[in-house]
Amino acid sequence: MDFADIGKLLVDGKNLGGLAQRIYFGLWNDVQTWPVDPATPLTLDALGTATGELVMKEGKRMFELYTTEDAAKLDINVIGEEGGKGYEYLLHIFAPGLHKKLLGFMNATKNEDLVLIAQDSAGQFYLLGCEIRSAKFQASDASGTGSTTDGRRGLGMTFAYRTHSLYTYTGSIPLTAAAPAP
Amino acid sequence: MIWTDYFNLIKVLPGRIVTPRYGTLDFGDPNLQVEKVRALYKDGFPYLELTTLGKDSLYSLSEPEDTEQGIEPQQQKPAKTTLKRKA
Repeated sequence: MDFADIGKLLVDGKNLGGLAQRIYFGLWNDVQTWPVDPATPLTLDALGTATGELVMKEGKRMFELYTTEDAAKLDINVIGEEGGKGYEYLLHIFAPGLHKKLLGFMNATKNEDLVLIAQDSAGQFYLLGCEIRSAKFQASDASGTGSTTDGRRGLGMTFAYRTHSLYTYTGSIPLTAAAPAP
Repeated sequence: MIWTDYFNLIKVLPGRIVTPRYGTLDFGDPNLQVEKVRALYKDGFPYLELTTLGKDSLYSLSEPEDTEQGIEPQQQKPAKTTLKRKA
């Protein structure tokens, strides 16, 4: 792999922050095949892109979760000691309301192995989860009824995923169930 | 003609898929634009295969364009979807 010059690289000057208002989630055990590390990447671009598609097991699919505008973000932190550096993704979201379905989601995921996909405002996707490691529910922030009438009800949730490398995900996300093999 | 005349949806049931190129598309909708579906196929989208009509009418007519762009329609597809190109 060769280094290369890195310029400003903004497409038409666009660089809006934040995440899209849809997060995609599924069960880690429901994934049939995972994107993999780039094989012998020759460029920095290739080294920053996972290869392949997220494919679900028969009868399984990914799902959407709505999040309030400007209330979701993806933090990328460096973890590990010298010689063992890696990364931790922290995906923060806020889902408005305290309806039963949302409470059930939190109950169901709090100790579960998950896969999550977030899209940034530039349209780039980030996959939390891989063949050997899942995303985990880590914390709840600002969840509840709020204290004043100009506050808001809802659930704030943080999911964590640790990985050796940072990649964009360039595959598709099936929101329809995988079909039985012919 | 509709897109399902040219392509079969494979490996998933008809429904929504978030695509890298066009966002969320409903593959249960017969009114999807053929050109969109075709572009996804050329990208290596894993849930499409050509029908016999698709092989004959789409790729036999567009071979020069594909060659110019260096795109081989079947390059990321299993052998069973390999196209028969006309000489």
